[in-house]
Formats: sequence, structure tokens, C-alpha cells
Amino acid sequence: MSKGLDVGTSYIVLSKENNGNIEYKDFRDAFYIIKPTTPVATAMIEKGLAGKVFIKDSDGSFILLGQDAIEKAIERNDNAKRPMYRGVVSAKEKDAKRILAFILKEVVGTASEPGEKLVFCVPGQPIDQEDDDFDIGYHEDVIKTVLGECGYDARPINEAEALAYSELSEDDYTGVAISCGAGMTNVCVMLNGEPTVVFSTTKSGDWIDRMAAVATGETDSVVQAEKESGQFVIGKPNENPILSAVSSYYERLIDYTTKNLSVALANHPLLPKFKDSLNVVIAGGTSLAKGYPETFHIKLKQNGFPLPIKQVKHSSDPLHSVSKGCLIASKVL
Amino acid sequence: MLNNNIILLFILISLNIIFITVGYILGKINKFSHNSTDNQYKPQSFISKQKNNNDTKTQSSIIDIDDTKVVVAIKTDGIEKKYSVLGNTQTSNEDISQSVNKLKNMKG
Repeated sequence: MSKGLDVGTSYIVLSKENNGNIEYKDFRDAFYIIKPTTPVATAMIEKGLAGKVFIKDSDGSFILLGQDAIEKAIERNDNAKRPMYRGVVSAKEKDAKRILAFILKEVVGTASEPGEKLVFCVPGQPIDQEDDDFDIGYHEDVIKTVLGECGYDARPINEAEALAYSELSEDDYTGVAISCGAGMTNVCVMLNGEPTVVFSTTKSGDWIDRMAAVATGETDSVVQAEKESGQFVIGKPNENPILSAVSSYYERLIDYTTKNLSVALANHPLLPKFKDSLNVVIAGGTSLAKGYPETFHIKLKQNGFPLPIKQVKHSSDPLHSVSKGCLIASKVL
Repeated sequence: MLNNNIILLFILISLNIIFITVGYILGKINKFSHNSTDNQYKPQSFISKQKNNNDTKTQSSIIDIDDTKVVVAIKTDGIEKKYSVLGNTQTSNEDISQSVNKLKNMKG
């Protein structure tokens, strides 16, 4: 028995085999803290939170988790917090680490046997930022420590490499895998199962939320909720000002990502000389927007993508495919 | 004569400043045009990394201090759960055994 775990900025997704099928367990990676000021307020707040997913901390504060956290934040015209930022846990955020550890333990549970293998994904090194707080090694160590406490033998895998294992099986594990998460966009160029070029960029779904929020005067959580309603098409005008802004920023994001992709790969010394054209597979929550793969394909061509493209495919299960790739990797060990 | 020396000194100092400035600018241009993927590091696949972890580590002649961040204990006791179920579970009718076997055969 082994498991796969997508530790994402927006979602945590566990996968395991169950009678020849795959069982997924996912949870929204968000929290919102309410600190009562009086004992009466404590009782009233707790009553008001009945039916929601929340915990009570030792200092008396209530912490809503997951989708309920986002909804409560919207109610209060505030932003829900995230345990991770741009794909990694921050060493400086004490609360965030604790909440992440709690959510992880709840999602993965105890290992079915000591030393059960679990493969979790980590982002690649970004090519568009230098930030001392972005420490993949530390992030890996935190996740390993937490999962180790649950009895797992946890191993990290690059997020885009995991996606390639999930989606490029019919292409003999040759092609380009792009995971469009909330915090980052991860890329892997794979040849016969070997990753040859791996990197990430730090602009993705959260960037769209932030920019659209500033443009419209709304909170990030409100923008995110509107965006996830899916009532827009990338590049097409929309009567809703929030969705109109989101649609525009999506175009800019795809343009930025494809430009970075093209520049990073052009004249790369390790880029193989592919004799056939390649499939480019896209997954991740940010790619769920209508028109994403089509716009991505157009922009790749416009921005001089140096590899021949056969098709830009959307994963059949964009939210779960990275976790599935982690599960496949765990089985190969 | 004194004037000539002053002029010479002025020229030497100016040239120094110019060369330092040009060097600084070239250094910045080189840094920004440097593509962070364009380095000698070839990514190692996940499966190769796991195999290599069993090999004996080669001794390095460079003495380095480990300055990576220490993961301090993250205590989650004291947290009281106020829900019955956390997370959504769904089953997908997918069989990954073919993918796994294919990958195993490729990796040897």
C-alpha cells in the first residue's frame, strides 16, 4: 500500500488505490481565525459556527478551515489565510505551519503500516523571482517531518514531473507537462520518463485574484469565489466587472507563462532534439477557466515556443492529476 | 609640471571610476540575462534519486557547514476538533497499473 499527496497552495489532495480504482480525498487549503473578546462572545460564536468545519485552539480562538473559511472571510469582507504562499510554507508564519500540519495530518491520517510509502509534490525552482523566504528545502523538510509523525516514509517529487507521470503514459512519457496551480506554474519537459528541463514561475491563480481584487476594489476571496463560478471565457468581455478583470488577467498570465516557457527552453543546453511533435498537457485549478488550453496553444505559437506541438491537451481530471502522478511514483518505488 | 601631474591624476581617477561603473553595469546585465535554467544542473528524475539514495555517498573535499533551516517541532496538540468529517472523498474509475508497469519497464 502506498499513497500520493498533492500539497498545493489551494488544495491538498490525497490519493490511494481502492479495489483497482483510485480514491481521492481533497481539502481546501485555507483558514480563518476568529478571536472572541468575551466568554459570552465565545459561546455565541461557537453556536453560530455549528455545521461548519472549524477547530478551537488552546487560546480560545476559533479557526475555520477549508471552504468554510473562505465563505466566512467573504461574509466579513476579509481574506481567508493560506498556510502556504507561492507553493511553499513560510518559515516566518508560525500559525500557518501549525494549521498546515493539522490539515495534513487530518487528510493523510495514520499510515496503514509503519513506513508506508507516500510521495508528495514540491514546486520547482522559480525562474522569475529571488526571495529568501522561498525555500523549497525547508518546505520539503516540514512536510516530511509532519508526514513522518503519521508513520509515513515520505518522499518528495517535483510537481510537474508527477503530472507528467500521470498524463504522458500514452506518449511513452515524452512531452511537456504544465501544472497551473494557485501559487505557481510548474513545468517539466520529459523524454522517455526522464525530466530534462524543470522549472516554475511564481505567477498563477493567486496573481489573477490579487490583480483583479486591486482593479475592482474587492477582496481576493470575493474575486476567487467569482472566478470559480466559471461564468466567463478567457479573453471575452463580461458584464460582471470582476469577471471582466479576471478574464483580462488570465490572458496576461497565459502570455507571461508562455513567454517564460519559450525563453527558458530556447537554446537550453539540456533540451533534447525531439524528432516528433509533442503533446503539451495542462492541469491544475487555474487551468479550469473556459478557453484556457485553446488560449495557451495560441500564445505558445505567438511567443515562439521552440518545440513542435502536436496538441495542447487538458487533463481529464485537472484537480487530481498531480496527486495521481504522485501515487504512480509511489508504486514504482 | 604640477599642473600636468594634477591632470594625470584626474585622468587616472576618472578612468578608474569609468571602468568600475562599466564593470558593474556589465555584471548586472550578465546577471539578468542569465537564465536560471541555463546551468550545468541536469534535473534528476524522482525514481533515479530514490535509487541513488542507496548508493554510498562520495566524499567531498570541500568542508561546508550545514546552514539549512532547522524544522522545529510543530505542535498541534491543544487543538479541539469541532467537526465530524474533514475533506471530500470520491472514487475514480481509473486503473494505474498499466502506467506503473510501463514506467517500471522504462526505468529498469
